[in-house]
This record gives sequence, C-alpha cells and structure tokens, in this order.
Amino acid sequence: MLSFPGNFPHRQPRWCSSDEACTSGQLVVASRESQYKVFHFHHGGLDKLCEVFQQWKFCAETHLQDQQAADERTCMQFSIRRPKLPSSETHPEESSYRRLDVSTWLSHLNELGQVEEEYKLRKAIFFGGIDVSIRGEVWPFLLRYYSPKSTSEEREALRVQKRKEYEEIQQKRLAMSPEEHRAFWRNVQFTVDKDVVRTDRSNQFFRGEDNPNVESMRRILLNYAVYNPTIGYSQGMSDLVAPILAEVLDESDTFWCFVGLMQNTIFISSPRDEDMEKQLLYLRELLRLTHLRFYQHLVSLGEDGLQMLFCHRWLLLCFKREFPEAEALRIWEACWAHYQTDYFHLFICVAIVTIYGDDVIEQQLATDQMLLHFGNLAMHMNGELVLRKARSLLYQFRLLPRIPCGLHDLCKLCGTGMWDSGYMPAVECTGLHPGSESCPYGGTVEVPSPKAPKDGKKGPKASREGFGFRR
Amino acid sequence: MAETYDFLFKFLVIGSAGTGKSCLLHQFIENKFKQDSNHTIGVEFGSRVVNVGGKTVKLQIWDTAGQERFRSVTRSYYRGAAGALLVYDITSRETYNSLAAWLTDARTLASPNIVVILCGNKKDLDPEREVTFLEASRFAQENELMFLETSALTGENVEEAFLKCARTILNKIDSGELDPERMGSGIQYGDASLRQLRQPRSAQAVTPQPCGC
Repeated sequence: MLSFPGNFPHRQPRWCSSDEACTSGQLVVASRESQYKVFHFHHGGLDKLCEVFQQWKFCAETHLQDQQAADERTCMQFSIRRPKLPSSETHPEESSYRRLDVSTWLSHLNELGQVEEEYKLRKAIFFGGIDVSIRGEVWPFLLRYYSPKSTSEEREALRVQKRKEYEEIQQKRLAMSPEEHRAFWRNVQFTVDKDVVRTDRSNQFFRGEDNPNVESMRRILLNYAVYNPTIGYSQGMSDLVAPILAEVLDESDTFWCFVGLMQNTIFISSPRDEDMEKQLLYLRELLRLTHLRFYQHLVSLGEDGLQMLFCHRWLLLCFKREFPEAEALRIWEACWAHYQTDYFHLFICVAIVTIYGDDVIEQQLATDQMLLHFGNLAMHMNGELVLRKARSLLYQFRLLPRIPCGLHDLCKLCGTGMWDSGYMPAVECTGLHPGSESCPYGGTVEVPSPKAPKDGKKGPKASREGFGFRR
Repeated sequence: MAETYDFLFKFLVIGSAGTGKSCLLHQFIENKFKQDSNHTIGVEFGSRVVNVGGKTVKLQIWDTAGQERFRSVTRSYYRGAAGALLVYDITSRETYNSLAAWLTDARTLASPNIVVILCGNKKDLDPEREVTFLEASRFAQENELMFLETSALTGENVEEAFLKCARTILNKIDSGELDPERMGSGIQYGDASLRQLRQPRSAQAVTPQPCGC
C-alpha cells in the first residue's frame, strides 16, 4: 500500500499482504483535512508508481515508525516536499525583526507623534511587516499621505483639510454637465460599476448585498478619475484600493492613501504602456544577472517569451492574486517600505521564478505553457518563502561590485538615508541596449569604465570577483 | 500523459468589461458557471480538446481584460489567433456599441482572416434586454460574422459557439482558404511528441485513473 502525502488517518486499511506474489495494491491520497481517496492498482502498477515517486524530486519518502525490512514492506508513505530556502541564501538580518506591533510602533514615535527615524521604521517593516491591528495607522505613512515628520496634531489638521478637498472633488463630479457625465460614464463609471461588485467580495468587509463599503470603494474610484483625469480608471485599481479601504476605513483618508499609492509606487503608479515596458526591461536585466538559465530560456522563445506575459498580473496587482491575502499584503508592505530600492517588487518576481521556475527550464516550456505553469501556481505559492528569497536577492544584488547600466535605476536613492551602507557599485555598460555607444557608463563589458555615479562613492575594497548569483 | 490531436487552434475571447468573457471560457472548459468571479487582469487561458467533424482539435483559448493599454500584451495576445469570440452583453447597449472597435482590433492585430463569432451573452437575462436579436444579426451579417446568443450561466449555446468557430476554421483549411503552414495562422498540426500536455506534475502524479474494480 502507498499513502500520500502525510497526515494520514490511523485507521488505514492494509490489505495488501507481504506475499511475494502480490502485484496489486492501493494508492491512498490524503488531504490535510484527512479526506482521502483510494486508487486500486493491479499487475504491478503500484510498483511502477512507487518508482516514479521515488525518483521525483518534489516527493519525499517518509519512513514509518514500524519500518520493516525494505524487501517486505507493504506500506510506503510519501509526502510532497515543500520548497525550502537554505540558510546560506537568506538575508543576514532576516531574523532580527519581529512584526511591528503596537508597542514597537509607539517606540518609533516621539512625544509629539513624529516618526523618530524613518529609515529604521522602513527597515523594520521591510523585514517584519506590520501587525494587522495597526495597519490602518501605519499604511498612511508608507503611502506618503502622512509625512513622518508630522506631529499627531498636524496630522489631524491635515485630515480635516484633506476631507474638505475630497468633498470638493466629489462635488465636482456630481456637478458635471449632462454631456460631461455621458463621457465620464462611458470612459470611467461603466467599468468601475462592473468592477467594484466583483472585487474582494469574499472579504468580510465587502461581503453581502448593498454593502456600504462597496459604495465607498466606488466613490473613491470615481472621484479619483475626476481628480486625475489623465489616469482615469483602469481595471486593477479596484483591487488595489479595496485592501486599503478595509484597513484605513475612512473614505477620504483611503482616497488620499490611494493617491499616494498611485504616485509613489512605480509598478502601478501610472499603469501606462511605457511604465510596463520599463518594468519588464528591468526585470529582464535582473534575470539576466541573477538567473541566467531562465533568461536564456526566455531568449530562446523569442519576442513572445521576452514579453513575460506570465508576470503582468504580478506587476499590475503587486502579487495580490498570486498569494492569499495575508501573504500578499505582507509583500505590499515590504514593497511600500522602499527599503534600499524602489523596485523590490522586481526582486519578488525573480524570487518566484527562482523558486518555482525550474520546470520551465527543464521541460523547455513554450510561452503559453509557461503562462499556464505560473497561472496554476497562483494561490499555491509560499509567500513568506518568496519574501525571504527576494530579500536575499536584494542583499546579494547590493554586494555586486559592478552592475549593468540597465539596472542603474534600481540602486538610485529612494528617499534620504536609504543608502545605508554608503557605497555605490560601479556601473558599466552592457553594450546591449540601443544607443550604447553614447552610454554614460562606457562602451562594452570588455572595456569597463566603472565611472562612479554622481556622488562618487567607491565600491567595496574587498574584491568580490568570486561572487555570483546562485539559486 | 501525452495528448494527441490533429490541430491546435488559438482562440481569443474579446469584448467590453463585464460581458462574461471569462465565464464563457469557464463554462466551456469546466461545464459550470463561475460564481463570484474576479475581473480578469493580465492573461489567463484554458484549453480543451474537442471533436469536430471527425478531427480532434485542441482549442487554446486566451482570455484577457483591461490590458488593452499595454501594447506588449496586446501584440502577444492577438498574435497568431485563428478564431475569436466577440462578446457583448444583451442587457447593455454600451457593450454592443463598442463591438466595431473590438472587431477592428482583431482583424488588424491578429489577422484579417480571423474567424469571428459574435456572442450576445447573458441570454438568460432576457427581461433586461437592451439589444435585440435582429439588430445584432444584422451587424453580424454586415461584418461577415457568425452569430449566436449565449448564456454562460445556463450554458446555452456556449459549446456551440466554440464548436461553430472551430468547424468554420476546419472548413477553411479543407477548402484551402486557410493554410496551417503559414506563419501566424493560429493553427498548428498536433504532434504529441512536441506538445505534451503540461499539467503541474503533482496533478499527474496523484490522479491516476482508478481501474473501477
């Protein structure tokens, strides 16, 4: 008998005897909830299956306590091997931070309610995340609605002023001429109305018929399109605003947090074509640097492969549909922390590809199959593992003595004090991009001109020639 | 678990937001209505092997939404599509009004020869109908489209829509009007050794067919 995976109920039937002639048996597949399915095999079929499982890298044989000698085993148990991250591949500061809870949060504030050291706070959030109970309070800082320098009093005044502004925007929307309104309805409201009723409805906060929170979300999106007519509304925005509303609760505050999100977070800031192209360009470069085999696979697929359709949704919704909500929001916070880079989301992409992309390379999956592969992984990936891997990738990236010019932006300062180590790597031109002859970072890889960036800080003294990105 | 088929057709599902594109796809693949579905972001797809006129055809159906602003997505999405379901919602005139624009996209970005079937979806909501069968038929005729009213909720005409489109493509191959060998035709010959079914391995490993004893 073969059971698979673990957590198997005790009352397991064992009716395949150790009789030599026995060529039949059952495969039992058990779920965590102890539901199980039994499949019957004859003519040695089970033995074949065992062989397959034994050779399959994602499958581990679990040894039972009362293990018999190998040749007379009647029962074998396997479990699915979950991907793990060796300790050598984690960020050295990985375990120094716990989740930011009320008391640690308060310790970051002085008596006036100002954030004492913004950088420390961001770093703590980057590693540890924010406790659910204070998300509504801390997110407005991360989304740059509140300045960290502001006092509690100033924030209260700001909220009052911003609420008034919000109401004015809403008035403007409601005062449209019939003609304006027709255009607005066609370009914005038509889609917003369709989308808000199918956004996060399984979340308690938005559940049920005539839920007033759905109506709030709708008004925020409509008012945003009035506030910023160039961006207007595009599908995906409702997915981004819903979790903020569910944490921040107040409609006007949520609106201004959303404004901050759209302005300051690059991957969705203005979901225009150029932005997406830019993100994909960086991601390709980052993959070339960190995961050459995967990059080469994309290249072998040609233009369609390099478009990386499989990660468009990752970028647009910041992984919201790839992970269960709790994990997705942890990823949001890590990205919003803007710790050492504005592009942490790209490191998350690389982490996913690194942890879950082996099959793509091994089986040489075509563009469509790759889309299916990553599509099927949605909601089945381990968000904590991906985050840890991404943090480690960022750490390793920052140790590189030289980075290709295409990735220079990834290392640019993102807010004062972000570049804590005080060192900038040398930037060199890869010669791979159009106009590379006039690239400020030199001609080719062979003749590097490691011209330091503006602030002229030097690379690390110790040679790190031997350092490479490893999976 | 290799899968054999004679042809593989790439299909698109296009149309305005909220017309039920993903639900049509889901109904066709899973034979059931997708409750509480999210709006699609990015590209999703599904595939199903069907029997059409004695041939096995694998339909690979691409579903996208809201991403028209991304040239890169649009290019890859439309490239090499052999057929398309052009979907509107019979209870929303607005979705009907934008059909011409969608059709232009399909014919310019995919191929002028793309076989398109017009689907008036949400047929089950007849009391709220804003677009009559007659006017849509006329639009279909003027633009050389096939036409069906469908319901992703009840499943009515869903299978027919996909099959009708596939059948037309097969007929065009038979008559020589479509050449599967041509690049970007959206048609590939089936070759089990080249295109194995790529399911996640776990699915293959844990779902052996019970022998029924």
